Amino acid sequence: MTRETISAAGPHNPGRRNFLSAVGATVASLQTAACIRKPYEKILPYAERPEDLVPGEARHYATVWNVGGAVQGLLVRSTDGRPTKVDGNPNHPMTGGSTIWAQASVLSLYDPERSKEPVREGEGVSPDEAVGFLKKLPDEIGDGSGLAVVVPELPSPTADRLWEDIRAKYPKAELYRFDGAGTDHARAGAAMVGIEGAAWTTDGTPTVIAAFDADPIGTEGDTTAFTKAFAAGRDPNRKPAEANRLYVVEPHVSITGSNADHRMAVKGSEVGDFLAALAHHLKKGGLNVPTLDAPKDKLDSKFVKALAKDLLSRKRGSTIVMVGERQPAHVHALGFVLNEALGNFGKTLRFTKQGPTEVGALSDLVRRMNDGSVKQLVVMGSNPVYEAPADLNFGELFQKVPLTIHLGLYRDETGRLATWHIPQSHYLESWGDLRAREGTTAIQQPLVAPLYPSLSPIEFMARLTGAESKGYDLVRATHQGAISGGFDKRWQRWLHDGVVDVGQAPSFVPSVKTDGLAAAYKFRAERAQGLELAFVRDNAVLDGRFGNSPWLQELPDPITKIAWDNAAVVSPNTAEKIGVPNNLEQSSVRDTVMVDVSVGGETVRLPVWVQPGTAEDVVVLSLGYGRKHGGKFAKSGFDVNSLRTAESPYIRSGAKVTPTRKGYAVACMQPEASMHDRPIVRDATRGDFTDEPNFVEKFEVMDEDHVASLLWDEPEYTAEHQWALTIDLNSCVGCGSCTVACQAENNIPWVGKEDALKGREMHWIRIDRYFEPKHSDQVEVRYQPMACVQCETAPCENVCPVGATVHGPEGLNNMAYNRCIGTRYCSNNCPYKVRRFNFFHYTVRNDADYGMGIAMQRNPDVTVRYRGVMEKCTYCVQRINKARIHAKVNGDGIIPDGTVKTACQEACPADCITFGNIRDPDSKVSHTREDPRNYAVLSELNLRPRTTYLAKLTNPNPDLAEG
Amino acid sequence: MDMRVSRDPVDRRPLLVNPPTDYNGVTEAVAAPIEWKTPMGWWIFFLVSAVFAAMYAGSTAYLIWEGTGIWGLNVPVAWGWAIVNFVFWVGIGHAGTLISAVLFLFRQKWRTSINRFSEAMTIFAVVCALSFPTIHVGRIWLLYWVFPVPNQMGAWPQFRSPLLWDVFAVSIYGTVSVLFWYTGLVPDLATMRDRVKSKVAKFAYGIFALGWTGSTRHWRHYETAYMLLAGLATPLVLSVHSVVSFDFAVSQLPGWHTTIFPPYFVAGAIFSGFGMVLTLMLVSRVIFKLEHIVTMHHLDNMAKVVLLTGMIVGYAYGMEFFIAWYGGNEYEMFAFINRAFGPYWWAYWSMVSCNVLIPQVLWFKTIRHNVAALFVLSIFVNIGMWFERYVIVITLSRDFLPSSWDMFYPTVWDWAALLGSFGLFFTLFSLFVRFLPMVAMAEVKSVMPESDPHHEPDETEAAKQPATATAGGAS
Amino acid sequence: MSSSNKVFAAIGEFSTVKEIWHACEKVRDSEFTKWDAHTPFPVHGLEHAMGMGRSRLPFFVFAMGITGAAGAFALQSWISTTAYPIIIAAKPYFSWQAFIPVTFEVMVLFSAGSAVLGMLFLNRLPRWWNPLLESETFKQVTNNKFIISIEASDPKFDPDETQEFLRSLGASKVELVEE
Repeated sequence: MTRETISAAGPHNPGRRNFLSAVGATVASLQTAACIRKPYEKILPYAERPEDLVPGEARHYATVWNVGGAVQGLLVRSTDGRPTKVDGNPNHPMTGGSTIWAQASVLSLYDPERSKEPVREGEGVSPDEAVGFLKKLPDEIGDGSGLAVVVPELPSPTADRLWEDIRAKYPKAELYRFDGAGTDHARAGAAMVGIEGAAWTTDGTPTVIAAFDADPIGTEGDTTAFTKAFAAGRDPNRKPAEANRLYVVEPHVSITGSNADHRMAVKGSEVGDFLAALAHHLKKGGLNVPTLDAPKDKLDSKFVKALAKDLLSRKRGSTIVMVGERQPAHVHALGFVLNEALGNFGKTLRFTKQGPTEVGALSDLVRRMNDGSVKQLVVMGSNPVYEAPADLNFGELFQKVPLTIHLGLYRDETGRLATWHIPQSHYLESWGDLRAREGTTAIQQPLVAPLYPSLSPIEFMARLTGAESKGYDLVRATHQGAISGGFDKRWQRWLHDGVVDVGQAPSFVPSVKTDGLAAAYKFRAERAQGLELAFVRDNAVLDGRFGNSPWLQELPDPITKIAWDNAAVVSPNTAEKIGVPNNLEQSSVRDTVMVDVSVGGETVRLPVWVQPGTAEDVVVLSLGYGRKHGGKFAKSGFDVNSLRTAESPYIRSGAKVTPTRKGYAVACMQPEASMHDRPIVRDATRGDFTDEPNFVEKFEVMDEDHVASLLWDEPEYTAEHQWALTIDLNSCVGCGSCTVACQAENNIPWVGKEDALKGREMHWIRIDRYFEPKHSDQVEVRYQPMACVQCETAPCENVCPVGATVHGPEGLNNMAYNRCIGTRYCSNNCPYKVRRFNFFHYTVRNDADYGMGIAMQRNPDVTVRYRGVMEKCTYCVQRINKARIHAKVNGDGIIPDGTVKTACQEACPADCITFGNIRDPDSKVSHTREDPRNYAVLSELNLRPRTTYLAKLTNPNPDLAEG
Repeated sequence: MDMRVSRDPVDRRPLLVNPPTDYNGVTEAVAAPIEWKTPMGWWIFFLVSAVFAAMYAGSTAYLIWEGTGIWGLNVPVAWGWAIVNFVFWVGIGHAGTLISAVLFLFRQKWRTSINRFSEAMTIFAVVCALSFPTIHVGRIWLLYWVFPVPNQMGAWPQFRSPLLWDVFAVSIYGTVSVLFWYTGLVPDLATMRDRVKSKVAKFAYGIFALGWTGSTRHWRHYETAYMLLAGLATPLVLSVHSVVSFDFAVSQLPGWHTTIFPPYFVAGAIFSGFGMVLTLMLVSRVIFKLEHIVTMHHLDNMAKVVLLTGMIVGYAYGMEFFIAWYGGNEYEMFAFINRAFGPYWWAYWSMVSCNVLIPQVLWFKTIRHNVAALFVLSIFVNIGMWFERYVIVITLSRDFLPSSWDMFYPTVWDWAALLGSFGLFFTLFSLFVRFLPMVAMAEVKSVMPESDPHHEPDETEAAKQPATATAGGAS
Repeated sequence: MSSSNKVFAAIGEFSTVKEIWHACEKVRDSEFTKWDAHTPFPVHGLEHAMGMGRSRLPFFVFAMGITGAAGAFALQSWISTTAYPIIIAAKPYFSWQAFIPVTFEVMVLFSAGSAVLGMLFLNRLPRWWNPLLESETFKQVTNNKFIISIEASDPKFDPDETQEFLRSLGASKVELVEE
């Protein structure tokens, strides 16, 4: 990892003063508006403490944010005015747990590489100058005939209102949408069947989910809401008819694919054909679907037949066919048609009327830029210069435009080329409002005044109209009209709850025009030659916008377990064809070779990585890496955008891959993928489970009476609370939110690629993923979150010479960090290897990397560990103690069930983690431990772990049963 | 000369072949290397060793400054070469006391020529050994927390930890070895005191000779003390490596958690110890012209011990596998199959060939009596025993959950510490051979034929004498 | 040899074990008490020839060994049960089995230490100044000579008679050592 420190000299570096004043401002009143000057008004130093604020007492504020149009309600913890933790807001309909991105967003607030000052033609200028420029801008724009505005996915009522204002002021202005995580293909597909000006969402309740190259659990749509319902849909207690079954057809192994009951790996270009084949079989099944052309082999697919049968066998409107953004418009169109035919409209697929209409796509803009009719180009909150497919040649055209203005969190690739770069306020710094696809609006309230002079998107839009209004007023103005009288009271409630209880976007059931679909959906005779490239949004950095987050960079990919890099992922067979060794079969899995991936004259050199389950002849390239101006962390990995085309941005055929002599070390955090037939993750089909509810016992390697006895009488655990935790492997989807949440809560440092390579990552909770790497394009993935299981007979304790790790009366295996001398014996003797060691002073290294920012994020309730000290999960003991204090102060000292939530539990979208007191027989965890699926990993060692697991159940289609 | 072949009173084995004509001859022979004008060879050897020792010091300084991360450690392999080297050196540190103590108790008089030498080796080896656990901890400045020192925090050590037993065992072993060694040195220091010319040397030897006059009244207590030390050191030497083996055996890792470890470690220790004694002895006896004191007979005996212990170790290797299979514990089975055929197979097979296969040549007398061959063999033994410890420690790389399996790759700093410790060892050793009598003169003299009060030059006469050393009753 | 200084002892030099052995027997049978036999190495049985019993050292060492063992075990027990009782791997506070190794080691430490120190104490060592060491003749005792010394402080001591007596024992060389 680079250890360069950020210069503390920068004029706008967040000095202590600025920060405190910012805090003061926030504390004084949340009305402190983000404005391009530093807020002079209402600074309230701590000399006079507001009576409602107890220093050290964390407070939570509701807010909301969106990633590519997926809106999420959030609860943000503010410690003495510093946002220190982000979690999902349970009040918000589209929220269950939170995404890794939401978890990591608190760190990005403090990113020292955020843009700190306005820049004109490469030179930093004073905020006032920028203000002056924006004042004069309207005159320069005139009637807007030369004005083009590129907007991200921004489902905000206020924004919509401001678009209207802008249109009113500049009738000829054109609006274009570009968002690396956007849904252009889906929109186009919807348009093809006549659905416009609408947003739609699927919440995962369906009983049959057919994902065609879609990744609703990982990188597409309202992932957390979907995951929550999806996990609930796999509840073992559900009747077979109601338990859901997930079919996935995709080229790469997505998070969704890894959770599938049935998965078929096919080229991305053939997914559509399979959907056509499905349509054909559904039509035969009596559904009203237009006849479509589909290749013979697809029609005969056992998989498709079984899927069709399954879909038809279910209640109308209880299934869903999902098509991923990677697929072209006509596939989406067919998707809508099929769902309509299956009666899913308004049921499992819900539409609301919203969003500005007449928004062009980036290609339209490029056309105009080519003919030079664009005079002023405004790019808001997106980064087309980096992300736009290479053949659009956006960068060059961008520089040809006379006046370009970029509003962004970073002075990124686009910001560098722009005439003007205006710093954008972080969402935790700005007022706003966002409307979920499902229709609910929520107010985005700032947790802290802007650390740097900056504008929020809506403020910037206001400026375009010449208004200087502050975000606060803009948002209030939008909603003022919604209700009559008593607005302030309602407003307070909205802020408190995090949802607006009026002004829901109207939901409706659109009708589909199937005419013309057949034409658009014609079986393309020419089959792709050579290898096919599949460009996928990265599970960690998405389209690259999160590239500068060390937490996300170090979060291993759920499937490949690669951190800090992307790679050319291929199946074992394909690797053999290409002529590269299968790194998974080498003793040093991490050593792989660089390959040249070339198509259409463009070549990118990056390491190859073998991943069973990848479709044959497909090379999977994840986007978002190798940023030039994204910050020092975003540099890692390899930029593959140069291989993409606007016509088909995610699928490209006819590629060549040639191995080079250069080797490369990939930081894979789990080199061994096979379970070696050990009873670690235990699973069964739903059928077997009903026949034999206690199937987990079959896995035991030692019989009960052997294990049960101890050589001595154990001490009585008499304390009121005996903590325990269960993890339901049947719900876990492997997304990794728990890992990032834990990192944020427990001040866990990142170690950087160099040390990650050596296997020194510090994650207290990791997600083990297993599969047998013997198959080539078939793979069954198993996930298992693994943190300290708090053994009652903990082996680590016995071997510590100084008693630095000892047992607490409540059954916790405590770490006294300041007693540890670092013999590392405990780690050796830990059969789960969940202990982490500070081989270097990672904390200080992080400080060097991140300036005072990381210090501001750290949780004051958790010790910051020194070099040479062992650390590990202790069930968020700081939260337990806080709860205990509260229980003692206002109660009988008994902590009610559910009041303590561990960070991982809070973050988990699938609710697979249950934590509580087993002394209390009615506690939720006591019940989950009663579950027949409950088992302890390595139970034969008689460690009596307090963390136990609930076995996984699969729900295969009998028609597809193997053998 | 044949007339002067002195024989062991017990089994008539020659004690000293062509021994020096008289007591003075012994003194001269042993004192000579100390009184020589420092030979160039010594300087070269000493300086090279010192450079490596300095490298050790330097790398340790950097280690303490930067953190244990400069080594190739990770999780799961949280113990690396530091522990390998520790066990390796402790093992070597066993032969000395064994030769001095155990052979002393068994009245193996041939030991007198080599015990001083091997005791010195023991002490230097223990110094090297102790250095590793000391520097390998994450926060060396807090290491004193392992000792039961009353402190303001009211915290005490945790005595169930094998590491703590280790701290006591090894440090006490070091202390006792030093006592034992020094006690043996006192009469010889007196000899040096009485013959050196230079004032400084006289003063120095005088201080450490404690005013020894060879008084029989002193000898009486001295011999009792020496006997007691031997009696104590014998169980100690066995206990120390057992305790070292507990560091592994008391854990629950497959491949570590085995009851065979204590005896197997002790055998291994003797094996490696004799290997190192051979290495050093073979060189020194030539350089310092001690062939007539350290005779073929001694080398032959040591070679036999190496052969025996080598086979004990080999038996242990086999038995580990058998028990792993017989015990039916799948993790255990995997651990051992993985040792032999996993990613570290090369380490395992180097260990087996160096420790078990190659020593088999010692069945042949010709080899046992070929100095060059013995030297090469002793080197193999040293290498093999280092690999044995490496194989054991690296077992960490694959334990219960495959998800946590990982590889260990040494860094340049691992090498610096390993080679550096050899530098430290040889530095101390070269100082020893330069300034201290490397053969226990008094003891050698005491086993010379004329030292028997009832000695008659006539062999047959002597043969009739009672074999016991305390022939006082005869008078 | 100037007789200005006070005489410390008379020494007689012998060159073989046999000689000094018989000489010692004779001195033993005479009434001399403050005398000693110096040899380059322990001559087995010579102490008997001199009429001395066995060393008392072992009792001392035994006592110290017991003390060490008891102390170590007591300390560990006290720490683990009273001073710093912590739950370790659900084991009893008084897990005596785990205390054995340290108990044993400390026992050895105490005995070994007391053996050496006891030996020095009984021998009144270190004694860095000793008139005998000034004598060139005596210096040979740490090499290859055997010497009997009879101290002047002995009531029966008379410079000339004692020297005569030593000669009569067959001493090859006899001299007076002065303080």
